[in-house]
Amino acid sequence: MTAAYYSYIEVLIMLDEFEYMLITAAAGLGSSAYGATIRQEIASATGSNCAIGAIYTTIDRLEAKGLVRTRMGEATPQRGGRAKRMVEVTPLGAEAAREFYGAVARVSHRASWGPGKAEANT
Amino acid sequence: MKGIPRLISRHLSRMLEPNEREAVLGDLEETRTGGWSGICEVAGLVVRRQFGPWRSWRSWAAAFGVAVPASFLLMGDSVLISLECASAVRARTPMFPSASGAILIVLSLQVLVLAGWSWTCGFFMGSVSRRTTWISVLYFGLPCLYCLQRFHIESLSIPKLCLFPFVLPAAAGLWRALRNPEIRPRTALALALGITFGSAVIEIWASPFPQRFLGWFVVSALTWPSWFLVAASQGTAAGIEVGGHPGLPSSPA
Repeated sequence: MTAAYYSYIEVLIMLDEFEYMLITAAAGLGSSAYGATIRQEIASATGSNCAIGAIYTTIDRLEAKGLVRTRMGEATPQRGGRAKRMVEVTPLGAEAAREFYGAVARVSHRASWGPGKAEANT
Repeated sequence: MKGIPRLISRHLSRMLEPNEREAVLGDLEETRTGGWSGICEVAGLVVRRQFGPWRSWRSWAAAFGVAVPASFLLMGDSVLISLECASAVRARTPMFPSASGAILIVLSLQVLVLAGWSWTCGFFMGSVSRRTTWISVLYFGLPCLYCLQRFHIESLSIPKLCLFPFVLPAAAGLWRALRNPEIRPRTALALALGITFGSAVIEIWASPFPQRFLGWFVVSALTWPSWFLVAASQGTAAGIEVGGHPGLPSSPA
């Protein structure tokens, strides 16, 4: 199914936390977002390694939903002359991530770890 | 990555699509992920890619809804047509003992329906679930090998190769789907109508009265892939992706 058939609500419902992390990492990396850098970004944020298989299957899933676009990039010597698969977040992906983040922030509002509460507790 | 682990990783990665293989091996090289962890990373992705599509109904439909039953049915049809041909050559057939023109018309219709049906099955297997195509092909081929071993059709005075005239159009359909999985709505509709009505005419004409409607019912039920392609082609024309897509996974992994 093409991106045009994913309504706003469907995108919001179908975005899971790993998809959100991947989109956010890719958005933060900008033009240098590809498998290895996204993986490092997620690993440094979460403190644990994720499988390369999880990265690539999630990228495919997001691409099928129209939330990211990919293209083959240039090959570099430190990659053994192999090309990168560059990832670019689409406007629909950015919107879905923004909404996901907003929903998490709203639902965490009253929790002790919610926005503003963590500083107040310390 | 160096040595034996590198060799194993490279061999494993051959099960991935070329672009993905390039990207994954490059990522592993860049992050200096070598040895057994490199192998595990590649193997993990291969497993996800091979088993992921089985979460979608399309893979099951292609393998067990089309490949297996179509293989048996098309083989049966192939044998029947070969027998009819042999009878026609001897100028005697149970249907038309003397009318050679009518025999030729029915035989031509049978051959056309068989070719169309085989092509459609091949196309369905190649377009609906691209990542499990090789499994579908395997399930399409296994009944052929079984029948080749099990049945001695030489006793019917026709050569063993008469089991397999359907393989060529099926392979052509599969090849076409792997190159371009989209089909024009008009072509799909023409195929579906041709197969459905052609097979119905043959069944009703050729079978004796009590069996003809049962035969027609069975044959009609097995024409569903052609009608699915009609629906899929309509969806593609309208911008909906119903079947698999070359650039997209056929199911969420």
